Amino acid sequence: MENGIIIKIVSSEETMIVTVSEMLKQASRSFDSELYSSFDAFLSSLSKETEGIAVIDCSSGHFDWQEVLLRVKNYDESLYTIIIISENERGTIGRILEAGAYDVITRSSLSMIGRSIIRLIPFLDDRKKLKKLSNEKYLSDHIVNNSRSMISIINREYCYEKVNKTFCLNHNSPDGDFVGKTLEDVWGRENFRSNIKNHIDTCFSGKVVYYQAFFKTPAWGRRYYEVIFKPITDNNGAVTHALAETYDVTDLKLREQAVSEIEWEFSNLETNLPIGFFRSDKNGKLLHVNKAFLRIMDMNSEEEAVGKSISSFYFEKDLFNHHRKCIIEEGRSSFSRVSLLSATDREVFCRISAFVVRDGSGNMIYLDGAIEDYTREVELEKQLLQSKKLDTIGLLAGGIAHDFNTILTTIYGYSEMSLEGLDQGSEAYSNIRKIVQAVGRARTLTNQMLTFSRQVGQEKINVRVADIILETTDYMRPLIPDRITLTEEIKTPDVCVSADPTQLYRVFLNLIKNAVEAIDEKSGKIRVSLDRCSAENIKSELLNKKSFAEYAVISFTDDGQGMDKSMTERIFEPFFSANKGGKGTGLGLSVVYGIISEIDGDINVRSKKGEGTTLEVYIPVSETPLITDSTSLPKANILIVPATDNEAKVISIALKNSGYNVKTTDPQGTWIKLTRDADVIIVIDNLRDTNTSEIAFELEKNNVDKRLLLISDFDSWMAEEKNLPSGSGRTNLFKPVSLKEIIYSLDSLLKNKS
Amino acid sequence: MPGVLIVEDDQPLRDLLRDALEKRRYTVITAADGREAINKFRPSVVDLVITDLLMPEEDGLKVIMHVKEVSPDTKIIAISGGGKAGPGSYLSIAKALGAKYTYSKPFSPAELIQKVRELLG
Repeated sequence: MENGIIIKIVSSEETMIVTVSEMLKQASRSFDSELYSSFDAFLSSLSKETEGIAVIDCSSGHFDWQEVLLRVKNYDESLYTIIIISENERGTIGRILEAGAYDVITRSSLSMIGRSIIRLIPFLDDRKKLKKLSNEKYLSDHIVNNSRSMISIINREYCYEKVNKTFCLNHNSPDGDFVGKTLEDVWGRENFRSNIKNHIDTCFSGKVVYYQAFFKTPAWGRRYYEVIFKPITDNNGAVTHALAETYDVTDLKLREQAVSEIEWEFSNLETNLPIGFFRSDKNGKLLHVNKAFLRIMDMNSEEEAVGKSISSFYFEKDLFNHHRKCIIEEGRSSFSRVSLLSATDREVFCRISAFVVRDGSGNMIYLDGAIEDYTREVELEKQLLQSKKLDTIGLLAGGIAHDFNTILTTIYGYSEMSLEGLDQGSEAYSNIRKIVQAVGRARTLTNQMLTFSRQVGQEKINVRVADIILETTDYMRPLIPDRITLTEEIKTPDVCVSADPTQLYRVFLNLIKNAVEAIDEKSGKIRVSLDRCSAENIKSELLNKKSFAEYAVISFTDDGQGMDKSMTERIFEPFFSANKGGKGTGLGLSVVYGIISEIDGDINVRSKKGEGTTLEVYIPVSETPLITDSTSLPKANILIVPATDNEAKVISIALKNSGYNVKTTDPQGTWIKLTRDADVIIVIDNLRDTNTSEIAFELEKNNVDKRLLLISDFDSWMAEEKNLPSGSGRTNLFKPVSLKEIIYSLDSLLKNKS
Repeated sequence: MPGVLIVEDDQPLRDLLRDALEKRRYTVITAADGREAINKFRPSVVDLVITDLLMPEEDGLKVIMHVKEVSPDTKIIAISGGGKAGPGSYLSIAKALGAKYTYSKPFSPAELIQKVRELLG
């Protein structure tokens, strides 16, 4: 610990100085000596900080030891003084030591000086340590220099007056001379302007300033500093300097940023992921849930959920216990397709995952988990399955119908042949007629099956939906019991769709009949409404086919018995009947489905057991204008008989919109005159006032040789057929007819005429 | 008597049509599919062809095309098991190819015979 020990040698004699320093060198190489030839020069080298040893030669009589010790003492007590005296002053040694000298050596015993100093070293070391601790200034300097902050004092000219060691190190310049440099010199113009000036100005106005900012440093790149400016005032309270303390918090900041980013991302995930998180106590009572959980379970706030048992969301409570057991005892963690019950009693299909959280001693404290809602997928899957099922059944039904029609032709043909030779009054005749009637029914069925399987093909024309609705309700109203009221609500009377009007008529008739059957024996209401709706307002899963911008929505609402979910899912299947006792053929709604599917439409069923049913038919809106009479030359002149029949009206609309010139008449009075201009006469048997064979005879009687298109029920046609006049200008069609058939037949008739 | 070729893959219906026509004293030749029909068709013997459209081997449309190519004056009546004027308007194609009349099953064989009489005089 000899380092840094300075020995000041003071003597007026040069030889003495040389001798002493030589002796010291012999004693130890680590002493640094300072040589003074005058006492005053020695004194002026002293300062409060001086420590070490002074060897003062008082032997030559130039310096008086008393004065020397007095003046040295004034400077510093920590300076050890060794006085050299002449031989004849030996008697004063005791006094000199008393006066504070550490040692006294006579000129004759100079060789002792080395030993004296070496003896002093440990003593000196202790003193040094002691001094260090007691020296406040040293301490504060030490703190200042070793602080991790850059500390500096800046004057009002923005110049550094003092900087600490950290400051220098931070500027990559350990021995840097910053004193006198301006802030701008050191930090650069940009940093000074944007990060320093206004802050330090605030400090100069007397305030402590604290801030954090990014600095661009030439040595270390971009750093994030925490800066404190404290004003330093003079005795008058004026701010003369700023004490700047700058701490590099870049690492801290980056870490903080990273953490907060992670935290943010997690909270973001927790909030926005469609996965519901929950924490429950060991019994399954909820303690915490996230927003997605609330969303999935139809709840508004966490309070609503907290305290509830997870089991209360299970459809089957036993299943919850089973799951809990699996999780706790077997460590299984995931269960799919769990049917949960939301707060609003909605069935939610979930995948549940959960695990046990245990404390240090292995005791279960929490049950944490996640639920994932895939109700939509399940529903879509169901829907897809349903539509696939319907397609498959359709394919099957179409195939059967096809072969069946061939078989029916044979049955019918042999029946016809048998009838030819039989007496009409005979039992065999009446029996065979019954076979023929059955063929008629079978034919209706195969026709429906073909329609359902979409193998018929539709002639699509522009048609105003409201016209067809009104014909349907007008036709149905007298046929339904008085206890049921049927009303229409047409919100958009002009909305048009591209469809076969006769098929739409068939669809609407079926749906009204269906509603009537749903009301059963009670009194009730049926409302048919028409509106239009943009595609985005319709449940997306509903329209799984081509997407159109807008749809006409035709709703059929009844307050009848309603259906449960399992029934609504199946009502479009052929031969599935929602009604008791299997009323009807059970093909009604499947035919509706087939027709609507073929025109890119869809049907939505909303029903609740005991409350009634709403069937919504969606058909893409057509923006093509309707054909008006004046647009082009009519394809042909058609006369439709009768005029008052609703189906006849629908056919009339259909043909007008297809470009025919259509007139209608009832077979009364002088109607025969009207036949003059007609190229084809369409006669529709309506089982009330118009009978195709009667009309045919009447026309023949009046010598009207016109092409005839007779539309009748298969049954009634069968009864009349034999009596009809034959001829190439006649075609029979059987109900239900489609526009495609009518147009096809009209084309044939018109072609054969020429 | 005029000759009629019946092309129908369903045997009972083929028999029915043969019975009905033979009863009216027509000469009847039958074929169970399109290929057989094309092989059996002789314009010197056959004045009218009644053909189903959907059949194994060659279909009815091929039969019509062949007949019209070999003997444009031979009359043709097409029948189909599809619904009414559908499916896919096979019947309308048949008509375009030269079938005079078309019938979709089930039809009245008596009415068809009537048309045969009309066409063959």
